[in-house]
Amino acid sequence: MIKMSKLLVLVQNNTIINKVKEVEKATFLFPLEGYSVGYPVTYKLSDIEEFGCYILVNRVLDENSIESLKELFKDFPKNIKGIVFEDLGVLELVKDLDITKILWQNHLNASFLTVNGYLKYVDSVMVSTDITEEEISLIVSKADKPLVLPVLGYTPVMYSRRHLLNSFNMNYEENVSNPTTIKEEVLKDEFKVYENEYGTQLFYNKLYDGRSLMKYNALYYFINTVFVSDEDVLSFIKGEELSTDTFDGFLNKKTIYKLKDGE
Amino acid sequence: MEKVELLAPAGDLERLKLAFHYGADACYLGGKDFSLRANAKNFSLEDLKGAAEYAHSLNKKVYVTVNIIFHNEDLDGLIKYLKELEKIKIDAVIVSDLAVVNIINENNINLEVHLSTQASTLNSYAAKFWKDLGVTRIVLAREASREDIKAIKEKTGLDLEVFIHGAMCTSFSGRCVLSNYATNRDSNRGGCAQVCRWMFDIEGSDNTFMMMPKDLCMAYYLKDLIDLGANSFKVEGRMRSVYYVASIIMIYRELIDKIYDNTLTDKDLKYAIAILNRTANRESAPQFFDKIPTYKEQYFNGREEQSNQDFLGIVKEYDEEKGIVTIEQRNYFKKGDIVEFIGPNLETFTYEVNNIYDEDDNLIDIVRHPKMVVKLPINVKLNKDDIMRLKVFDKKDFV
Repeated sequence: MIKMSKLLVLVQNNTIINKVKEVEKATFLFPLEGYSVGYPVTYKLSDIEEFGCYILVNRVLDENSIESLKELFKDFPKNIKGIVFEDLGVLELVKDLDITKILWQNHLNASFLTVNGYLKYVDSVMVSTDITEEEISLIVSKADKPLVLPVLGYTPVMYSRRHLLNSFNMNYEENVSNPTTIKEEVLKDEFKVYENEYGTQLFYNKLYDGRSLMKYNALYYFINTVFVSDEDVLSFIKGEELSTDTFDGFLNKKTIYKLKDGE
Repeated sequence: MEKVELLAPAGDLERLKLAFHYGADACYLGGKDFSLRANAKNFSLEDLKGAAEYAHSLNKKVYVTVNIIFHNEDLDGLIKYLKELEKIKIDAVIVSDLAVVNIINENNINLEVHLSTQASTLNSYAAKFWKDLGVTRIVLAREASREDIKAIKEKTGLDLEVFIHGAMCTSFSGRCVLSNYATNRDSNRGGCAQVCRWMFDIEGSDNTFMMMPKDLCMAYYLKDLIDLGANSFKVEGRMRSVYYVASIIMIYRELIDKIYDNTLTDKDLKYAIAILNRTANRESAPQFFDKIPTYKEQYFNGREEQSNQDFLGIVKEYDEEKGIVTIEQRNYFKKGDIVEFIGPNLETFTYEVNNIYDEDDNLIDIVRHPKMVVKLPINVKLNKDDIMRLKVFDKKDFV
């Protein structure tokens, strides 16, 4: 049974909100301007009107940035229900706020002990996209609180503090677009690249479809809409076929890390 | 004021001994499990015990990396392993996963905990989170700036370990799984295939897209880091050669000692940086310390340098009576080559290779076989593990 009412949908254009609402009840996540990377569209706190939504702070924050975020949060809007964040320093900033706190450290929360460790401090944790469904199943079953499971989107695979596109353009005196796509010359894997003032994010250029995870209990099923067409987002929610080819990430593919002799 | 620690990488026992010999105060190393650099030789528990005993006999320290991002299956055996590390009295574990910290605390395992750079700590609030859990030292993110280091030190009082030399990840450490997607090798469990150093086509250009940063070199800023309160200077490179470890550690030992003695000159620094870059065979930069790196701090066409073969041999023994040094060859050398000898207890000196004798005392002209043992007549007293290398730079040429 798909529980669509638990959808957490990242917002990359204002029209998607109403489009999703027409189909299904959902909660929306707004990347916070100045404090998020990888998202071409970000929002100021004062510009977010949606009631009961979340903000995303997914930067690794330097000292000056976290101090300025602290200032910003002194007047935390009432319409915002919660925060999804990457940097553990944010915990201190929001500890006294009556909001839902969700930790999303890309790639780092891959065991039930790790997840339960963080659940002592937050209300939920976004599970890693780099592990198998079997691993996720065990984590969900042992977690002390309901978790957030990523179910659709282009997966963030690398976050650099460097301005990789700008550096390329400066070096070659070119003007490649932002975002753009790069393709590895041998294996032909493609990655989308988006850069802002705070760094560069690479996304794997195959659309991840993890709807098989929706049979597990969760606080939210996360739809990362960046670079995904509204039509595909809506098709996913309706349970229809998408217009883009998808894959299931590592849900059915285990990574290796120790090479055998000769490899 | 306590002198800053010089912390060296040790991929195996040979490198560990050499690092200590060349002036490291501490070494970090990985066990066979639970450690990034899964494909380095690494240390068995028996090796770790030997390493700890050896270090402690020299009044030095060893830190063991337990710094993978744990999957459920990796948790098996972790408690037992940590208890073994406690038993063999290693000086600290370097961890990145909260699960390890909690296991140590909940099981009253007497191990000092250092937070790995994999946790990408850049602010005092995050550092305090870990301090409250008993972490005593933060290995700062390589992206840490002067301001970040200052603030974290002042606001937390934690021991701070900063990278001063070696390869950089393009990404924030731990925030990259390019390797998982391109090669199915798990970067956060030690399988990183360094995909960020590969070449890419980019949409809208015929030029090749690369992300590979130049190496980190903080030689010019060591004094600043000491003044900011850094407690440990870390050199990257558990997979590097014995020559790399010896040469880099020797240079930094000298620089640090001269800073504390107030004898460091600009000439010393320029010479040191030339040697450091030559040894690594890469260009280097201070990277994030004072600014966000630009295109000048990265490569776009791969590394243009040819691999050097400066490391010619290592001293096995010296016969003082006869003035004969026994060398084990590491790279081809021949009669007429101008070389230099370096060592922790040796004033570096230049030598022209003239008479070369093989093990049977036959006169030869060329030493071409790997690990070939030869003898050279030299009237300067040399020590075991001193290094013979091609002479490339002369310090007097630096001003």
